Amino acid sequence: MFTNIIDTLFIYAISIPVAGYLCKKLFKKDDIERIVTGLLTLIGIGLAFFYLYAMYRHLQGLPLMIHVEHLLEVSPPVASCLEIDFLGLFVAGTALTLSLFVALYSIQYVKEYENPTAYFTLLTLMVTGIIGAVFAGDLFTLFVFWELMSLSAYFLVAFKKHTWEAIEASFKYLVMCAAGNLTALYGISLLYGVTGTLNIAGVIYTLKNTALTPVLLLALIMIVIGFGVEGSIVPLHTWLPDAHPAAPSSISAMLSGIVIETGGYVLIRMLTYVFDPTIYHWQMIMLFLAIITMTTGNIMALRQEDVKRLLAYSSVAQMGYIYFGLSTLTGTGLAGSLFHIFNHAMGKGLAFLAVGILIALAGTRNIDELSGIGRKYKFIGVPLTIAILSLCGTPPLSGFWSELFIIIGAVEAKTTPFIIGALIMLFNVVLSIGYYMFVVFKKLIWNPYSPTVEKVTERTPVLMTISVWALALIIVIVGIYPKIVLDIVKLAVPTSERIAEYIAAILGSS
Amino acid sequence: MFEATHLMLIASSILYAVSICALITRRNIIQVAIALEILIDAANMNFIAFSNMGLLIDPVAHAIVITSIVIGGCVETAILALAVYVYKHYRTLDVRELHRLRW
Amino acid sequence: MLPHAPWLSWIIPLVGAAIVPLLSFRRRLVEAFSVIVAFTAAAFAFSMIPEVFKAELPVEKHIWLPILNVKAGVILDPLSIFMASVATGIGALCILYSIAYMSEHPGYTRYYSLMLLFVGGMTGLVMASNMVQLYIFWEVVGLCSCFLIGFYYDQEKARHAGLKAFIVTRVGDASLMIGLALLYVSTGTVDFLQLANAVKGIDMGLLTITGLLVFGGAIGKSAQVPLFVWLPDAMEGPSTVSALIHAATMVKAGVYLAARTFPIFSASTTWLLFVSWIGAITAFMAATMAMVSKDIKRVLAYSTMSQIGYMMTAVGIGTMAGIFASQFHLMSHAIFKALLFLAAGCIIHSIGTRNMDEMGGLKDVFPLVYITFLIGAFSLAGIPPFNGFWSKGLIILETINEGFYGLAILSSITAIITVFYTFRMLFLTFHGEKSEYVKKLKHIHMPGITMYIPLLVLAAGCIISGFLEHNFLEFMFPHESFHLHIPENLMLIEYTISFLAIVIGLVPAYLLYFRKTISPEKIVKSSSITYALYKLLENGYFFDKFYYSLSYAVRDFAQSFRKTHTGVLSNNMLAIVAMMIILIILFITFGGV
Repeated sequence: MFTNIIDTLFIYAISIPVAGYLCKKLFKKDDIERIVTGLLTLIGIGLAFFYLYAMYRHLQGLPLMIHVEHLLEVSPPVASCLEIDFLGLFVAGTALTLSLFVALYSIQYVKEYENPTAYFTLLTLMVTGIIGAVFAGDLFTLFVFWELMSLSAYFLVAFKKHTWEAIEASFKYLVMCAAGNLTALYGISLLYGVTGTLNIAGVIYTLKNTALTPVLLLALIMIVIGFGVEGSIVPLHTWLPDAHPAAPSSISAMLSGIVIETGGYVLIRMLTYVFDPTIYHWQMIMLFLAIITMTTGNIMALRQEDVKRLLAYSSVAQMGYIYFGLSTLTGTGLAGSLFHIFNHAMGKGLAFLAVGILIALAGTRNIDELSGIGRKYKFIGVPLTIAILSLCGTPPLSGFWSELFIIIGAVEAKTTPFIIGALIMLFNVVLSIGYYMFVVFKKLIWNPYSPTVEKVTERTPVLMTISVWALALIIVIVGIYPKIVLDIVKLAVPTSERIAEYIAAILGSS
Repeated sequence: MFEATHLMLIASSILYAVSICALITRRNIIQVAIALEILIDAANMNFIAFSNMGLLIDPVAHAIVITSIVIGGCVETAILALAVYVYKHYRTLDVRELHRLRW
Repeated sequence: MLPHAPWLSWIIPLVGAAIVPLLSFRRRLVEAFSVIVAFTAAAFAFSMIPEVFKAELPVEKHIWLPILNVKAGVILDPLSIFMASVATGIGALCILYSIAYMSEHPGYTRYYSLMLLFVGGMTGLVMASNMVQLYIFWEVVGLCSCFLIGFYYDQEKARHAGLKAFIVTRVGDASLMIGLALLYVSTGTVDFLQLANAVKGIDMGLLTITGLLVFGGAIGKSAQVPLFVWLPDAMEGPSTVSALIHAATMVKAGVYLAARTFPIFSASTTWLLFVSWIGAITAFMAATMAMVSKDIKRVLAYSTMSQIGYMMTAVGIGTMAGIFASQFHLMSHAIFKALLFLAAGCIIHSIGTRNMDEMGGLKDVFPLVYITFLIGAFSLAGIPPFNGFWSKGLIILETINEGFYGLAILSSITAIITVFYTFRMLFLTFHGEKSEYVKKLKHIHMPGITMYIPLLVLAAGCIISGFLEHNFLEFMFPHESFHLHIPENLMLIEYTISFLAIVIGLVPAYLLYFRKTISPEKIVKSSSITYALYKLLENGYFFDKFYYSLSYAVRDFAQSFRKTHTGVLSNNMLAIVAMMIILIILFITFGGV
């Protein structure tokens, strides 16, 4: 029925609470519950990753390189189905890579939280939601998994429920994203009304022969807005800088690293596959949104005092780069967008994880109070430096490549707005150095110790350090030899042939 | 058939507009929760209305709506649970008082 | 050629940089390892020199990026081999010098690791066969520069200078990146060898714009006007870093880029004019700024900018002779400026100040340093028979020869100023009375033997390399029967100019700073115009102030813009609705419904 990957994750998501409950009852120590549930999460995600790799090998052997599993034995165009193509595989791979290290990190990180079972259950469910949304072959399955992901995220943001901050952030996140998701559902219902099906391939097939009507346009706008809330398009981003700092650092890494990217993925999927740009002309509008998103994110990040809030705003800016690559609609630009999803997941995930360790050590999020801590804890400071250098696009780290591809893609579009867009993006990159280097790097690593930092004497936690270094290593290796990821990206870039293959694989020859 | 479908579409768009307006203007968290519920209903009603368009009544839409109601229930639970905590921390249910996180 | 030398000459230092942290438990081990690695790399690089004279140069390539179809490769031609030799050779000498220079600093792991990374990056930059690869190493060396300038990060000035260098060069790099993108899109390749042919079809306007954008990267990296503000501040780093990165190699990357892309863009006369005038203006402005600076390293930094300006001018002349002159001057400058920086480093290391007012009369204290510094200074001032005389003379000669009289006049004026500030520096540092500061110093610890070896090697280089013009010519153009056609009378004019420059520059310097018959302060205060001029020069033509006010403006804007995030849910929801309405309007206007 379901594919192995989602199956595994679901089974683990169900068994973790059971195991956690048993541990709690059988052993008096809290540590065992935390370690058992944490390890189960790790194994679950690891197994899913293994199955994903098997799926990758399997896909390479298929003629159209798309694997379809129908959920109902009804004639294809109306049925829900799961499909795995390289676009989905790529995003799922990114999500699983990051969540693997986040799970490893969390085993040690959640020590001070009272309910590790709930934490790991929600984390697994969130990963399941992401993978399901990515593999969904029809819009409603997409919506269901999307809600699964969002719901877990709301609760994870509110995980430190004894603080007002987490509650306020989670509340805003919930209301905004729920409204956004339901707006998207409304848009989906409009699509359903026009095409009579929810299967993505079926929708594409029907829309090909349908003229542009106001209803379809409204559906497009609602879908862009709906998924854009999670995908943090400015001005829909306002939940993000509140939610990221309030969440536990590992969850900030997940949220910023992959949840908002899933929003970006859905927009890429919907805009390139479903809404043909030659009919709907959304290119200029996405360009406009992308420029606003990146500029606002960078300017807001420039003067933040809270290091996690700063990184949250920079995520908004990075999403702007992804949308910019999408708006160019050239092969290179789209490849850059997709690659940037990977790079941002690794880079920002690493930044949040590393900063999370430092915050846990020093007990504050204020940048001035954290001054010099990266110098004191060199084993965290070095990966953090790698992360921020990758995020501001410094070769030979991986973030550089996606930036280069997006710029080349924009120039390839060969129209004045896109070249101006490329200039604005480069201006933004320079602006982002203003806070990445002058604030995060300089204050956290180069500046002298603050009184708070001087008092810190604890040692660095081992598992957390390992996961941080593993991500740093990935960034460096992919940066030096990007071919390993680009080979998949190349197969994932949505082109017209790929869309035709997609329809053919799901609908069959009919 | 024609009239029923169109009436439902009009009703659903009205519901949508009402709930969005409520989300902007209402201050009480419970009212915000109700507004979200109305938003779900608007989308659901749309599905029901469109299921009636062809010669047959499409069963898929009904399946979808049932699932969607469940999801709506989850969201409602979440927001109400948070409302309890909001009251604990802020001693109020006014959403405009929740502005300690800003800038 | 040693096996795989074009690859190994830069891979060895890069791998070495990664290994250094593993050896950090013993200082001696790190030092010995770094020196061995650097000299091995130099051996590999120098072993490539005989390859130039072979009929066909081997080029190796490996597929690397599947999307842009870029093949990672090395380019073997006189230009790259020459630059690789300079980078590894001076790199090895600087690392050898560092053993004594950095002997007391606890951050030795970081230092040697970054130095090796830099040597590898710089060699990789010049060996890169395509623009993307070049860009990568371009940034790697920029990063090393940033971290090494901020090496003494306990001082706020050093921290700030390092990051300033990073961000200012990144502005130039942004321009380079978009130029690269334009080049790739319009020709479909980024390979240097293919590009030269591929650009023939494209539109001249586009070619010019692309060329200017690519040159923007060189402006940032080589500290040319208007992006020079980072280089004077970069002197906060250790002197070895200044010698290697900010005098001999990295700042030359811009010249290398201009020379490397010369076959691509030389069809555009606008590009050539732009390059040469940027160079000449920088040369002039930097030289004037060097006249008033009190800090010995800043004087050297300004003079570096000025000399690079000469090289740019030579590239912009647009002939092969011009390219040759620029490379010849590059070699001379790399040697004499590294020498000057290392010699200055000896003094700074020993007496602990960089302010020239606090020096004076040091020639008796450091006789050997004085002699080597003197050779370097004579070279910089263009006094025969040292190498600077030949190479700078050749540049001025070429400008006259090709009829660029404006450039020639500006360059000659710059030559006069160069003589003036060189001797001002020399007199203030080594001659005259010892300052109060020096007198008070309890003991001056003398530079170690490992510091003298590089000085002597470089001093010998200063004397010899000037006479190797014909050998160098043969090296740069091994297969073409290429000769410099210089009329006899031009040669005479050039010698006259050089001689006059020396006299006109030396006399005021002698009077003001050696004899001290006239006080420089008096001249400055004599009228409001001279005072204003002095302030203008002291503040670097206010470029720095301008950039700072720009950045403060952005910062203040960001501060007030933050208020837009009210954090009230109703406003956030309102934004969603507003966005929906805006999107509907946009789609109706632009979507073509």
